[in-house]
Amino acid sequence: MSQPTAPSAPRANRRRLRRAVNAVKLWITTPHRWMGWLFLLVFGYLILVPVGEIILATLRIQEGDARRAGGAIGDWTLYYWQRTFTGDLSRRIFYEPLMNTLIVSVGYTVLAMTIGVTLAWLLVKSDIPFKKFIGFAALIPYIVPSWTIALAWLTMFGNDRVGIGAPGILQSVIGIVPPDWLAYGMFPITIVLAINYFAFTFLLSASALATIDGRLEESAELHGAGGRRILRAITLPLILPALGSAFILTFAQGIGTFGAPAFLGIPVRFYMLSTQLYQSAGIGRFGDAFALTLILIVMAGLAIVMNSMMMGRRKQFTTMTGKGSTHRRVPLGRWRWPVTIVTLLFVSIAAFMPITLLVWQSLQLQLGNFGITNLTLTYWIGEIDGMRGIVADPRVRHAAWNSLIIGLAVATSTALIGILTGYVVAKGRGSRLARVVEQVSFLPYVIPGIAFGAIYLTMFARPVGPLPALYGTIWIIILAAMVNRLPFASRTGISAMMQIGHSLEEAAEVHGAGFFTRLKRILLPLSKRGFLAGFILSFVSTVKDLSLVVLLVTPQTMVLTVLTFGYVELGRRQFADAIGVVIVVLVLSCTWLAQWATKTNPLEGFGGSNR
Amino acid sequence: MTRVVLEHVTKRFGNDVAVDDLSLEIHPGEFFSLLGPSGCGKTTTMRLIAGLDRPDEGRILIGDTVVVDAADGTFVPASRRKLGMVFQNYALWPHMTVRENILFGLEVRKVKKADRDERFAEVIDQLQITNFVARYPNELSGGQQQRIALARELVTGAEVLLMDEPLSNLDAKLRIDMRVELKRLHTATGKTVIYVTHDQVEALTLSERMAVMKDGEVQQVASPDDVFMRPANMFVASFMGQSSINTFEGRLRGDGIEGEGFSVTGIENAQGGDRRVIVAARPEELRATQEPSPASFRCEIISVMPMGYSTLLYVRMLDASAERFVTIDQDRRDGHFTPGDTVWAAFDMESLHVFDEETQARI
Repeated sequence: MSQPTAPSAPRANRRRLRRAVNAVKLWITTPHRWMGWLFLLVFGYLILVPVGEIILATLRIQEGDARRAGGAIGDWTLYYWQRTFTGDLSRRIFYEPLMNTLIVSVGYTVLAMTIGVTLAWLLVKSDIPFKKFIGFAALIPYIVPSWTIALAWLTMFGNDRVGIGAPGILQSVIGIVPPDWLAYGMFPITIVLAINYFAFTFLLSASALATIDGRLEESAELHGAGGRRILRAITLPLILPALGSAFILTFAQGIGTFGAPAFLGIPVRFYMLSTQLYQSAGIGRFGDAFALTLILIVMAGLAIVMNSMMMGRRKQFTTMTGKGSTHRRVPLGRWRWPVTIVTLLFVSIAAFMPITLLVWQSLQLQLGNFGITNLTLTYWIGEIDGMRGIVADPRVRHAAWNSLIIGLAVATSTALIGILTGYVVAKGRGSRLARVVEQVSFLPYVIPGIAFGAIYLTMFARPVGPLPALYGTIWIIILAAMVNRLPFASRTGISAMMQIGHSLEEAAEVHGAGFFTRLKRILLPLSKRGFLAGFILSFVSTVKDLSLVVLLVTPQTMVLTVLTFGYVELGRRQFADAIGVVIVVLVLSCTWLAQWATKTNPLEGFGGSNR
Repeated sequence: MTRVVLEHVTKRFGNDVAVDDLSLEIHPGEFFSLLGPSGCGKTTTMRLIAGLDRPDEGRILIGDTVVVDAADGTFVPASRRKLGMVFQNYALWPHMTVRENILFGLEVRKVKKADRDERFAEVIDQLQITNFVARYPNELSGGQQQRIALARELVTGAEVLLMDEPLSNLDAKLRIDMRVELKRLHTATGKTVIYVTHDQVEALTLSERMAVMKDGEVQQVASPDDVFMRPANMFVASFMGQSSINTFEGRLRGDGIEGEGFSVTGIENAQGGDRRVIVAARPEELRATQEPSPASFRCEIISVMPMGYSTLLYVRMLDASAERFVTIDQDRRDGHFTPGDTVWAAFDMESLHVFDEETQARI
């Protein structure tokens, strides 16, 4: 009986071997699949594993807490969560920062929405003059880092009663000592963040307004409705879902912001979740810091979930077709000039005042003396108290070099990864792998920068898996910034790749081009605009970022933004201002370069480049 | 001269079967068309041959090489199949000049420079595109782009050319010119051409043989004449032809068919006994006369639509119990018709199509 099967056994084996070899060959020649899996693996390792690690870390006793928590290091414990939610200090380390965060966030979001929507309506729907200039100036406060606006605020409203504070213009020039609530804490943080983010709500609501079919408003007019009536009954309800989404996204963007709360809050012990987290990490209480990190992530995550629910409902407004042919221009009538003047004044102040104040203060020999005779270039090119001006100071040069290297590395890698992610998603359109890769690449969006810093700080403090201990090297900063930028980069890449028809790549394939040839000769050249925009914006946001890197840098890996932070803590505002000016100039010129190079407004596509 | 063979090829997308157990043999040097309505699987079949998609079952040979075999997982990627493919939207690379587009395949395959230049000169001459070579595709008209796309495939010297609805983006007049051009190029180069189209006139005028497809299955493989004159089943009969085909239900007895209001005799191949059948006649396969003739039925003219060389008559059968309408494409020289006239409509026994009602197959 076994006779006939005996010779076929080796044949079956050979067949199985051939199948396996062919399967491997196929795998290699289908790059969007293996890259999809590779990205999933790498993204998962760089995003999900760290989040998992800190969840575990909040549940185990950390080094230094063994005695307090009553156990051995590594024991399972609810100590940190208890401390955060119900402990004696919970009010100070959690509830107050939480309340502050919520109040400030709701406050600046409402303010930013009011300003942004008004501006959007004026620019899209009304006959206000100087539209180009207003649109241009309105974006500047969004492009510059929020901490420079915070510094400018202190230059204006600071007083010398608080800690290292110096008198601002109000006190020094006009002679009014601004009360503490105006100089520091909740009020200025709210205003500064509103100034920083109103351009974001402006962009979102302007694009929603621009897609309304003008005929809808015209037919309301034919039915006898007046201008205000149309706005209330037609325009606003139509863009309401978009406005809701703008509200949530703006709120989510600022929850974890660090710069402004640090500069304006810490001097008066006004803590938000981000600064409290920084404080806890700073004194080595990582368990507390991680609990706050998770809370921030959950808050941002909830906001994003709410937003996608909102966007889902938005689809029911099928009238927003984008075919809004005729743009009705509502005449402002006798209000035209008053409105124009107020608008121009506001956007000009928001755009140019901070940088002017920074330049001015960086030129002051004695801090807070706004006289002409007090002007000096000492802090730029001179030397004072043994500290050299920023142009000559080797520490500044070192930090600038680090910022540059990190910025370039992050920009290059994210632009490339973004394009390749785009390829995986566009090529595998409809497949589950593509969907999952897209979703996972978006996950870092809900992790605020400071939380990310905290996560990476522990995760890579020691060797993990294939990676050596990265803490203290610039690699940890590059890695963190790269993953932090991933949502924007992959979005850019996906939209760039979606615009390239399948057949262009397939034609090259039929012509004998392997994957890398296709990438080099077809895909990259065709997506170079998207690549460039992604590159520059990644560079800009990495160079100006403070939240993400503040926990990660060491003296060796110092970057410009953190150096600024250090100077402010030392009371050396002029150095900080000078560096701030350099960063603002760099950031603005790079953004305009991207705008010019891509002939579009790069900020519009990726609503949250400024985190 | 290379043949292409498909053996029991099946391709599924999720639960949809795009190509269902399809077998075909395309002869070396043949101009072969895949014709069918949209969604019939013709483009998928072509993509399977090209290696842009992978079948779930079956195998495909190009020449004597097995390029894909689902049984043992053999898969030669598109880049190694040495085929040419003209895409519906031409897929010219917008960032390359015409010259760079045409030379791309030769560069990738590392053909020597002298050889490249020679082939390039030859092909731009052959397609009369010498004047455009320095331009970018978006500076060219649709017809010119089409020529570039052809040149790009011809220059590689691929033995098998795949064409996916290459003429569908051109206007009607240009399309006719390009048809002539394609025919000329095929004759001149002797390449095997597999041509996907939903336009039956293209398939009929260009092909040596063609396959009519529906729902992922081949309905008929034959010469254009045979497909048109002897459709293998009811689907092919109704798909081919410019206007909808007229159908009449009837009963086959011996060599005659009895239907509602008509009868015909002298049916060939009528073995198999009594059964229900469908008689099909295209409008141009019917003829209206003033007098009755064998195999004709009485009807009343409802409307008369002159169309130049011929006139469409829309008529109602008079001896049918239910309301039945028939379209006749009448030679205009056959005289004048007015609505309300009673005429006789005669079947053309030479081209009468009879199908088994149950199996839909030709009798």
